[in-house]
Amino acid sequence: MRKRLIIPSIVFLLASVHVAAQDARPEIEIANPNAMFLQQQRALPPAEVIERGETLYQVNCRLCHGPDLRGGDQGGSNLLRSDVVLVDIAGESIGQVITEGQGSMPTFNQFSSDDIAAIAGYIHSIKFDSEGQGSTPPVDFDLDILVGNADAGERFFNQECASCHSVTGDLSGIATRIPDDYIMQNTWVAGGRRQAGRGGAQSTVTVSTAAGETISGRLLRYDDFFVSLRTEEGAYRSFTRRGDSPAVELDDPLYRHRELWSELSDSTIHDVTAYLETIK
Amino acid sequence: MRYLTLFIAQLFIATVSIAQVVDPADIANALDGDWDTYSGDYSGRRFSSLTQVHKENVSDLTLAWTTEVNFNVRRGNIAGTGIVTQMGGEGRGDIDIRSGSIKGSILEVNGILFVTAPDHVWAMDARDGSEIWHYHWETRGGTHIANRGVAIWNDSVIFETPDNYLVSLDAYTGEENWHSEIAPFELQYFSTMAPITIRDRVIVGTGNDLDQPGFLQAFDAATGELIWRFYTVPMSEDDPGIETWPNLDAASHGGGNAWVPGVYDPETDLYIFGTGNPTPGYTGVARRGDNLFTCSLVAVNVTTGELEWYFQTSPHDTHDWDSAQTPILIDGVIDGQPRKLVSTAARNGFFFTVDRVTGEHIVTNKYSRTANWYSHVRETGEPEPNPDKEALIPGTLVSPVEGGVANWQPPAFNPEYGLFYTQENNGFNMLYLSDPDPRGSMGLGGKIRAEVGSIDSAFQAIDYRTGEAVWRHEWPGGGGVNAGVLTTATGLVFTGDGRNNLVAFDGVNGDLLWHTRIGNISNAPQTFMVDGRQYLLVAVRERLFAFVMY
Repeated sequence: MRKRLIIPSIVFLLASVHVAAQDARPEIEIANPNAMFLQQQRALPPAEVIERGETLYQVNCRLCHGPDLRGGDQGGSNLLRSDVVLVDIAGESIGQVITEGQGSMPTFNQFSSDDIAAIAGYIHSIKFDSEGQGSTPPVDFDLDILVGNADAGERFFNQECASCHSVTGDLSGIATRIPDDYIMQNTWVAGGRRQAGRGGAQSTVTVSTAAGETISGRLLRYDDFFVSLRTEEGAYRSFTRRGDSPAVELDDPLYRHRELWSELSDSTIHDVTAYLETIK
Repeated sequence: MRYLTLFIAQLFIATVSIAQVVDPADIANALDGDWDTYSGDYSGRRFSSLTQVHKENVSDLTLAWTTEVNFNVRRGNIAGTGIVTQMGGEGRGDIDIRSGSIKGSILEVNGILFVTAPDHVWAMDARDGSEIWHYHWETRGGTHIANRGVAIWNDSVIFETPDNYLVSLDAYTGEENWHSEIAPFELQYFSTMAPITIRDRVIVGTGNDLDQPGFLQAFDAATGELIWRFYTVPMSEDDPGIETWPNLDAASHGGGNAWVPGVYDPETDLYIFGTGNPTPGYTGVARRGDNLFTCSLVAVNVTTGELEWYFQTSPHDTHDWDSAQTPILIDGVIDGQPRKLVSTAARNGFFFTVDRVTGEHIVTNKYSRTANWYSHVRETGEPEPNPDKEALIPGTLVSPVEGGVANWQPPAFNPEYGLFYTQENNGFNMLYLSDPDPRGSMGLGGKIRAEVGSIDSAFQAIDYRTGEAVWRHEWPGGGGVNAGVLTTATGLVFTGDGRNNLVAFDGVNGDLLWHTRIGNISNAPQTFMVDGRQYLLVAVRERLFAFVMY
């Protein structure tokens, strides 16, 4: 069930902003109360109204405010972060600016109140699709991240990586196995899909107790007071650490990757990615 | 401290007395038995003068009590408890937010705790953690990421809500005195800061992720009326800092939110705080320039609300590294001369010391081993951003990660050792530009971020005179830690290790003296004295743990 909410009067008039002075603001219909902000909580007008608003917008507003409402070449403001749009409920604020103008924006008197409500509804429908943390609605650019030099990447690989990795061994067919360029680059820089993170899920550890016992296995958890591991036989072992006792020797196979992060230039990263993309 | 002691007989718990009236003048005293403002006192040091717990006996600390805060709304009296949820709010009660971690300071006055989560305040007995009253704010929405705690003014408890109201409650009963709108919910502001009581006003900050201007405000603590508002970015062509933006539209959509409590110097009447990142966060193309006063230490006169000085810790940030962390006031010695200083360990991996009277720069030093986003340090002390480490289409490998080397979790300072204690989180992200539109993106959009990993994260004791670590404890396994810090006159340092332990260091040398495995703490340890016992209090998400010695 949709409920209605009367928005408290806006006590704020931000210095640079024209906000319509109103004694009685329209009611806003809330469709999604659990959405984070009003622009996603609100109910939208029917699709045909939005469609008509889009047509009116693209004919009359697009040149200055842009096809995506983010501002255009003619200097119109970005409507997706415009205070006039954000406080507008049903075209009352947007309509005032349309009919009275604001700053360098001229007045537009040809619109009926239904037209204005439709334009406002269209603008609100775009804002409705914005993503979290102030992002725009989704944008889709066809971007190519493969700018590196594969030959230079191969030279780097042979110098720095070949002691642990082989393009005919563990990395055989890597570009086929990881078809996404972004994931490929992120994966090799991080040192594998299973990032070690804290404690190093892939690390091995050898614990030597004061009693002379030596236990090795896959590291499970590790802090200043505790270490636990699983032995090759599958046994779980854990030990209390007190300073240097028991002796704990870690082998983190990703440590070299971690060190590399401070050494790698971005162009080397791009080169190696370009090279690995050739390993089909 | 001086307290008026008042007793009220509650209908159902006639034996409980509540006496938590705080004279605002007392908050200026150094942190001792009570914790009556966000940092314990105005200095931000989180240096307690309590001495009952010391290096020789810290390992005798034991659990006094533990409890989870109760989010349930009790609309009627529950027989035998006397506890009714006091209700307020501008929402309609149809938004379902009934949980939240404790990610702020818990105030303690005369044995009463004031605990918060977004939309909730609880008064609890510090002796056993039992609830005295509960207040619930019915929200209109907004980012419910955290609440950093209450302010106390006389017998009022004052806090902010995610939908941008400042709410004053009766400290004895939790009944609402008043509430005031502090920022427009329509413009997607959200509020988390713990207000700071200074005389008869409260200092209030807000957050925003939609390219709105940041501001700090002072409200009348008695009435909730606005006294002044200080914008952290230029809002007119005549405002200072406008020359560091390409145009007024960029400046007035430039962010710089004040969302973490600052510190206050009564001698100069300056409130000194850090400002958040400029917006759009990751695409700086439409805001070329240094973008003042974002990512800056800013000193504002509390009487007038006017800018006194600033020092920018991150010119033209393009990584969402707010510089909003709480700074620390230090009365120190530089080149043999006594100086009034302020130091801060920024999210971008640099440590700074500045003259707190004039803003004169004194120290810049990188305290992160891996921060790689800058090209050099300017002669004036600001690190210069390297444009090749912005989000770019083919990807850049950037340290630190989005959360930074440090974040809102407060550091601490021991004036006897001259050491500034902070976490040092060394992580890397791959960062890609996903919206190359020359108009720039909005908010925190326009990029793709992939976590790469971390290496050699640590806890540091930094000499404020040089920014160099005197000791450094590397956390096993490399991963970062999000936990605040407490230090005491007995030389102890308490923090979390990010591996489920609350730990105590010897503040001189970093020796680990004590730990207890209670889970990852979600705020900073605090300490206070009740009935002759020194308590240590921490939160792990929704659960509080109090330790004492018996």
